[in-house]
Amino acid sequence: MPEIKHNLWKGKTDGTPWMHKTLIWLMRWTNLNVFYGIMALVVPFYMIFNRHGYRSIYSFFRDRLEYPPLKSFFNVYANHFRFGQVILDRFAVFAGKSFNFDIDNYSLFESLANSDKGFIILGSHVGNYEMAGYSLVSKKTINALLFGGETRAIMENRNNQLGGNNIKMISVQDDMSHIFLLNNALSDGQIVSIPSDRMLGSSKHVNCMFFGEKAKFPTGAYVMSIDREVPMIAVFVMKLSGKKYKILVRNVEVRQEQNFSKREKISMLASCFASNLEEVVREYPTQWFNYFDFWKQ
Amino acid sequence: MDELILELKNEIIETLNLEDMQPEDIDTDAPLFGEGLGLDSIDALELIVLMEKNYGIKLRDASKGKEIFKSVRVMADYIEKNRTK
Repeated sequence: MPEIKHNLWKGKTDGTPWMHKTLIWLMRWTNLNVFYGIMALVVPFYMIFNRHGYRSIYSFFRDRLEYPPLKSFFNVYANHFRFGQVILDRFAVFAGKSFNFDIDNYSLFESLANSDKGFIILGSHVGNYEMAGYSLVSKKTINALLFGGETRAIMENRNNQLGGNNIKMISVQDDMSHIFLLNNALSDGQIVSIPSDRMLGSSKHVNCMFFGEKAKFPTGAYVMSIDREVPMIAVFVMKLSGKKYKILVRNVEVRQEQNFSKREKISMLASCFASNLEEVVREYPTQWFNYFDFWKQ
Repeated sequence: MDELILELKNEIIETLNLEDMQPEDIDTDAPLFGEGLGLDSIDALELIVLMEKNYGIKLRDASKGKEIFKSVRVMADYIEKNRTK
């Protein structure tokens, strides 16, 4: 199988395993706002030293959202701060802290979760998608596909926290074993979760209009949905305030009454997801966390 | 067996949308993944579903799947021995 070069994104949280463990330990005894405060001071340094990330997000606000330069600059700060908060919140959950969730369109998730059929959840790198695992809980196991770049400490904590919520992590493997696991899960009526805004494991993609220009979206989830004849939803978990998140559940489907070819269906499903994603990012622009030129991935 | 190999090649072309290819363009003994046909993980998924829908063979084990997807000939041989449709 040809190797996919993840040169734009390593799929890895910054820091060493020792740092992660220390942070989790400290969080058990300290108010989360203290960490947010430290983050607010650290962000300017991150903006200075992470030039690549700074440029791509600045260009996102300036060129895609057409903000004036100063507004773009302050939004880059807000974006980095939000990203820091989101990462801290993940560690806070590992440390036993809890958050409040409002779920928009929960009935859609519930109806799929209560059916015998498996289904696919499309995730993305906006907001704090991982938090969905703590609130969208059902009898069905969620098999979450992720890029296997994380440290052992992160993966162990994820498994400890999410395992209790019936969530199984599946890493992308060069031997394609993840494809068999995902296929088995859907055959068994379980849920499969796939990040759908980054190329992951395969270079197959379709071009969809996104913020006025064509961008590549991976086709894996759509092929899986069509081949296995299972429905799909997109889930976005957006941070509203310190302790509060809003989960948006959106349908991703094509009109059934017409006989579209498989290729047409893939393209329509991807466009549907891209349009949902754009709508969410326009509402929460500081929670767009793809720190590379998305239109050139 | 030759008939099954031809049938399989046609199904692979159709399923994987290899529009510019003819059955004779696919080397029966060449690897399907990597340097042969150059398929990737999404194609693997489509082949797994093809095996299930067209021949009633459910492939759940990744290591076994890797063996079966070595070439069109190996696939055809496996289908002949295990098909339920």
